[in-house]
Amino acid sequence: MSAGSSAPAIDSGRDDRASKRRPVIALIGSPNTGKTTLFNALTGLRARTANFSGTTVEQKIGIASIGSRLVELIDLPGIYSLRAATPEEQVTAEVLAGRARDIGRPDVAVVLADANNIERSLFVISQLLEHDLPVVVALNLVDLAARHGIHVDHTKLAAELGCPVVPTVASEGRGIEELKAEIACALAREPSEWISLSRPTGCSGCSSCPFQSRYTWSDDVSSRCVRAPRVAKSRKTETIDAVLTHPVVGVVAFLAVMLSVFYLIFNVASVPMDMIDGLFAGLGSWVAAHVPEGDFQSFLVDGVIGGVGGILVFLPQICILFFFLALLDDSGYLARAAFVMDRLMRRIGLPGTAFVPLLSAHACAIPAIMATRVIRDPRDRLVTILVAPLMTCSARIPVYAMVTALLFPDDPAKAALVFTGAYGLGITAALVMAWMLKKTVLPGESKALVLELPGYRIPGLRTALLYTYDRARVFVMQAGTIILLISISLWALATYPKPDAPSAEVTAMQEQAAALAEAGDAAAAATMERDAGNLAAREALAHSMAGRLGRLIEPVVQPLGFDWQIGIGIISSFAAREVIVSTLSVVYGMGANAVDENADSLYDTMRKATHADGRPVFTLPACMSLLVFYVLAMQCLPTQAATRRETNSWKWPAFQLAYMSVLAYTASLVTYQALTWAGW
Amino acid sequence: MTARKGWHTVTTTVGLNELKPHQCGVVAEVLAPDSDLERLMAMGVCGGRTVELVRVGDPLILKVYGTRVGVSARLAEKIRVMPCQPLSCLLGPDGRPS
Repeated sequence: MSAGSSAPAIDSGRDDRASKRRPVIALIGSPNTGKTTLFNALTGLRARTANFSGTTVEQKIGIASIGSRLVELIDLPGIYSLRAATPEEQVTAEVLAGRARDIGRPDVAVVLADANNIERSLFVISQLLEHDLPVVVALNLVDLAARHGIHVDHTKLAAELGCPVVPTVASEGRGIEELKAEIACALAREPSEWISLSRPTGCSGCSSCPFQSRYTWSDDVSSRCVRAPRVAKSRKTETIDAVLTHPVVGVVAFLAVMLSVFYLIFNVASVPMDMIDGLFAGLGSWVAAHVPEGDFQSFLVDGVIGGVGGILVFLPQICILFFFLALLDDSGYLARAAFVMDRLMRRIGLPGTAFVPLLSAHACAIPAIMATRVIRDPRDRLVTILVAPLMTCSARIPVYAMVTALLFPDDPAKAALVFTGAYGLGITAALVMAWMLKKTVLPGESKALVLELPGYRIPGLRTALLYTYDRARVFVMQAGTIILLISISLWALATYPKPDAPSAEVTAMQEQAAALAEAGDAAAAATMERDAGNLAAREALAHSMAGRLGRLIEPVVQPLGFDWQIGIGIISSFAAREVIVSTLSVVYGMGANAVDENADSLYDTMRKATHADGRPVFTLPACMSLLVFYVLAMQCLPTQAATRRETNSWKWPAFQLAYMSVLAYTASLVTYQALTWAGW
Repeated sequence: MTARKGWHTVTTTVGLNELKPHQCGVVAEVLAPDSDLERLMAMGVCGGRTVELVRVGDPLILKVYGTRVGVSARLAEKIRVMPCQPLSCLLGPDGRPS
């Protein structure tokens, strides 16, 4: 490539620099070369994650101080080649050519080379050297290489490539200052000063492999610069892999690992979850005490604080999940998990990489959908995103608990059976739907497996923590804003229009309470007062828009065995399914917090509830139908927002909502009608 | 393929998946490369390079340039290799036969 042909691009780069724009440094490298660790070492917390515009490829941009000034550091996706064959490679090519929106043409490219595997890194470097960009090579993992007896002569390599080569150990921060100094030098130099001594010639006549000449060049360069033992010394990875990639033992080991992670998610997370719950409850009471009673207080306490708190309570679980996934990924284990699961997952048309996201969905669908980025094929990834919310997430547990408590209060064995059945139904539905989607909407065989199994290593705590922080921030920003809007709207639906005056019954109870208080029976007065309040809340909800909508949809939900009061529950839990418990609690006149404070009497009241004609509402068929509905229905707007973000379109969240609603309705209908017909 | 000219009378190529465990082969050609095979080629499974079959089965594990890669058998059979004699080419860490 001649310097002349790309001169305009270079000129624009210069102009930008002249106009005091921050210099842009692109970080390039193959997967598993320690790129993220190096990025974190250079930027720390000063980084943000976003999608490259118009794609679902994630980019990370951070600010680093190089020399005396601040530069913008772009972490490009891990790639094996710059051929623009995959979305990741396309994005990289666009950025390097200065064609990416919102990002200036990089002034310097920092490319990571794995000292253990220099030929493969040289392959990418050979492509990069054709871009007429100043290149600085960070020769990473030199400590590991030295342990394996591999020594790369970086001075000689620098001379061969015609660009600086800095040995680094990013995980320990070694070589970072030297690397920064070389970047500073590269920024100061003119591109014309960059002359590479040896470059691979273009490919001609090598029909079997377009990369052959590049690899021949890589071999030549490495034979001059690398001193390595004739036989690899490290057998550790191979010994461990003999067990962990075994078709049977590997699967068992993987399930054991994930089981431990889930144990931690559900046990350790309960402490911070209770704290967050307490914090928001405290905040609610504080606001209730300091803001005058009325609509505004109710708006703040129930709409804003209640809604946001209800979602943030899941943050600890999400953080723990992401933290362990990051550790497992960094250790090299996650690639093995995908490898052993590939054979099993392919039967439903999905690759092995889809397994971890689907499993994560048992904690929460949002991190699961965010974790689908490991799936390479866009169709496979989309199918995984679409079915992930069918898995039983932790927000469904309160609903399952309510149904089992209603049906089998004294029979733990049957309750356990119901729980297991609900989990099983979710898993089966997800797998069957995945299989069906791969046959119909998104047809095609699952992408054949091509997955690098990196050498095992001790995972970096810092990388895992930063990753967790980053994911948690995305969750809070995304869920936070959407949930705030939704919970305010739902609050309004459940509050307006308000009844003009409390009913005669409520007034009578309040008068009775006042009479009791005068008579000196404070305890009885408080009880009566509370009951009056609960009844007033029930009447207000029935009178509100949500109550009217509940009546409106009653004919639709009647075949499922539901009445208008459960209809209110379904509407109010549209954004967050666990809300149905507190809504039903209000509907049945027990106050919103009855599940925590007085569960037995809540369930008693619900069991006694009847339809207008005197038939009980919560019969076994109706309860089962409700359970099936909540296993399969979407009922979670933050998940929809995550789907929107990851698919970059509103079409797929809409499709997800539609198919899950149809599925839930049909399955509930069949459940209720079949059980009723069978005489249960 | 220059490497093949002197060989074709004595050696036939086999699919990579037909190698024995820990046997090496020199890649002769890659049939009908699609994007997955191109990815493998970019990783070094490329004409003239030596690859080792580490674990048989589907998916299998191959080793190229010191890196282990999990690959579906249906891709591996499109990678035609000239098998080396068993144990005649222990791969060095740089992926070249020692």
